[in-house]
Amino acid sequence: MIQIDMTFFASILNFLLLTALLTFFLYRPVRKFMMDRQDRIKRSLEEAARDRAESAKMKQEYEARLAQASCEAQDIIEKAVVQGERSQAEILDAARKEAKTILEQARSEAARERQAAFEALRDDIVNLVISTATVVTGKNIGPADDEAAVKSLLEEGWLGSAGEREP
Amino acid sequence: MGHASSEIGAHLVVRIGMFTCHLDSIIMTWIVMALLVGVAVIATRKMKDVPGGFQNMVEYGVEALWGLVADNVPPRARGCFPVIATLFLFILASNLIGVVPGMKSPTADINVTLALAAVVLGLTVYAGASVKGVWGYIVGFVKPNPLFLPLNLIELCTRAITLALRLFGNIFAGDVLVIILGKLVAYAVPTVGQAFHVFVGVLQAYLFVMLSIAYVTVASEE
Repeated sequence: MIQIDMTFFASILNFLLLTALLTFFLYRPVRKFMMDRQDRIKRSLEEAARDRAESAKMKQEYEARLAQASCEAQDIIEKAVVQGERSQAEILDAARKEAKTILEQARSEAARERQAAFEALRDDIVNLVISTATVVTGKNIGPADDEAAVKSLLEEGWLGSAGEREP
Repeated sequence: MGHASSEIGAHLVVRIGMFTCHLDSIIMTWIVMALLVGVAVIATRKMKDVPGGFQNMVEYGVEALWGLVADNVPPRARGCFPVIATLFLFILASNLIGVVPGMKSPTADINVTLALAAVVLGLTVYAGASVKGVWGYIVGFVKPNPLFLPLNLIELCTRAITLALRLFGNIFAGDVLVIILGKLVAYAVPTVGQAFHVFVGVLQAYLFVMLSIAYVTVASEE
């Protein structure tokens, strides 16, 4: 039998109470939890995207720095090569100068020694000529009398040709 | 306390002064409420970021109901969601509890289904009045002209009454079917009847909620 009574009102109250209880115990916690989790995931994704962009930027910076360092290294190498070539030229120049100096010194030394040897030879020849003249003439020709004449003689004749034969 | 009867459709009636009340329906309603609240408490006690099977099911259910409401009643989704979700869960649980031996569906009582329909009626009026304004909603009943006022009012009430009667009729008939089959055939056939009752229970809960959402949507349209 269908009968409408207080059950109707009690059911409305029960339903409203159940709605309140489920809102408090089910809908609100579950939805809040899901939204929080969604926010967390969204934040994580944003952080990951940000990190990725940052790492890409850093990579770009490092590549730029690397390229710059490579250019600088190339410059340094080129400068070092130029500097080395310059140093090499200077060293060679100095060596040539020194060699030239040594050669000139050696030449002048040789000339001096040749001159000394020549003078010693001339004295020996003078002495020999005087001795020979003394023996031939039977006169004692001292060095003080005729030495100057013999010397001039030798210088004009013998020494002239002797001087041309110098090494 | 009044009489208790073993007749089909009979209720345990208590009399409080001049009023009567179906105690069996009230008790079954409380059992369903306790069941739903208990499940809700257990489901939300230790929620994890990576949900397990039960939490996953609860999250999916709440999200599906929210989606249903938000898609159909966008302007008043927050206000309507708890009522509509509770309608679905309560009707579903009430319909299915009748399958358990010794239990009786609260929705097999016309008072309960009428109460639910009254709630839907209230929700419809709330949604209409909150979107159009109280005066705008009232004016809507005299359109296209004042002669339509009684027709519009009857339509509003009829919608609620049909909701209640449809639910009551289906669940009551299901209960009756299960009882009769149980008395006629001892094995197998009652089980098939119970399975059919489960199907009808789920379908009626869905239908009740979908129609309620449709009424609320129509009422809240500009």
